[in-house]
Amino acid sequence: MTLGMPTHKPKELSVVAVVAEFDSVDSIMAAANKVREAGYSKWDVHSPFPIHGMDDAIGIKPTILPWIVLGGGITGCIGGLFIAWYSNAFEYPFLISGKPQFSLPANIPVILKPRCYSPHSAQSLACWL
Amino acid sequence: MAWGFPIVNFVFWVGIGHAGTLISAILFLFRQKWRTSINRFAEAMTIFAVVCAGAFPGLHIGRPWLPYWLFPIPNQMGMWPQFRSPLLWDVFAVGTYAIVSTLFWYVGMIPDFATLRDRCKNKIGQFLYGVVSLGWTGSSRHWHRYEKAYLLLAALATPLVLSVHSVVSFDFAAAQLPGWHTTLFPPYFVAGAVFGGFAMVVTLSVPARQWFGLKNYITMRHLENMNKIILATGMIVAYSYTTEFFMAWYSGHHFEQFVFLNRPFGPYGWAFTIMFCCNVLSPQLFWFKKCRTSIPIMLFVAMCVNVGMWFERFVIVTTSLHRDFLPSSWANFVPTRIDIMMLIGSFGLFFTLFLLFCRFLPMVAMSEVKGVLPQAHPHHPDENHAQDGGQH
Repeated sequence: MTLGMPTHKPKELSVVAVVAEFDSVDSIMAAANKVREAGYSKWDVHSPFPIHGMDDAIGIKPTILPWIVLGGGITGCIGGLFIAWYSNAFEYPFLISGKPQFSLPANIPVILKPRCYSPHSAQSLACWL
Repeated sequence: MAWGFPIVNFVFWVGIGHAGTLISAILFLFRQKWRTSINRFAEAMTIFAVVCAGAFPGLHIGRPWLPYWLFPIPNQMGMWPQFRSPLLWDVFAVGTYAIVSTLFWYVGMIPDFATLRDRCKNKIGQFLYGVVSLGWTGSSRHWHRYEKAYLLLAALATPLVLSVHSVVSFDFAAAQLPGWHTTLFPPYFVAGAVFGGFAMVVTLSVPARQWFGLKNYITMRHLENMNKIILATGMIVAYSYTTEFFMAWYSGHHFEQFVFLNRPFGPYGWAFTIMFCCNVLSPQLFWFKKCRTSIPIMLFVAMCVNVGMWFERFVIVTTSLHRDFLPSSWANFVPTRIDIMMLIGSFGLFFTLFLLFCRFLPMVAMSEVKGVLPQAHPHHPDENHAQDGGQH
């Protein structure tokens, strides 16, 4: 576990960054709390697994990721419904045993699916914002 | 009935995948921490099963060089797929399943790829793992985003556990054929899928933990939990079989009654017997703790269930089709040499992909296992560590 700032080779002898290593989750939590309270802004904690409570200790702001996912879901839903309507009821209407050209129930399985995967793709892109 | 055999294989393989999604998504949302050491494994199995499943519709459409006609792609013929058809619903269900499972699997592996990148000795490995780990440094900001993304992915994948096999069952349930045309199909198929999928997870994880030295990660507790799920879903499957017979009798529908008498006593009675013994009788052993925790017995039951679930789909497809409404179309179905070879080939594909996965990718979710260790939790007095560690 390291507590660090961006490092590069200093030309003169001046403190550019400080890196510290901690052995336990408790000690790094305590250190993170102290660094935040001291008012530092460019710092980070690196760990091999997520540490619960570290977000508050560092003061990480909530991400807008859920909204991007919701946006992707709605886009996928409307897009799927549009393709179903456009291709089967508008561009190439095809009558099958007198069934309606376009009806919501018959299209639910298909629009449910883009609803699921478009947020996924959006999410994988947005994940690292 | 020429297409019958590929469809049997397709439903069998899609079903196998469901255990992976159940473990990775639903057990994650329910905070079942024991899932951590088997989820990567099971997710990989899901993807490879979907790959095998996807091959069969491509072949059974009869024009294997034109499967892109299944997708709504503008083309020079001005034709579109029929969105009201259950077969197109299937294309979307399985397509979504493949995409979502792959993304879920990949996102889960990113921190582990970073570990492999840091530990890798050769240049090619360092480069490739470096590319796929997307610049992961283990920063708290990364973890924050990562955990949020993983939770959302799990929430989105959860309905898929139920919806994918429901849609697969619509292929049958939306048809008019006796034996298929029933509202029981979606829950029955989903339970069967989880049942068969967990049997496959047990089949794969028992040798894997033996050969790759993972006994400390995939413990007897994991195997026992999976066996309990096999027992529970097996009972749902047994209940569904019974309900089908009851409804055939209760409906007073002659064709329906004929189909269900023909199933156990007709020309495919042998297939029904195999299905019934494998899926209903063999899991009953798991009522006893001794059987649940015995490696040979659980492998035996898991193999029975693998065979039984394949025969379940064979029984459903074949018995309804070989005695149609029109006696002139009655015929017994015998798979051709090609059919059999395609089935064997799909197992070959599945195990090849699985072994490649074991060779090149992290088999156990390393970062997740680290995360459930007692040392990973802040504010735990030392004396509680030992207690906690025993549970995970």
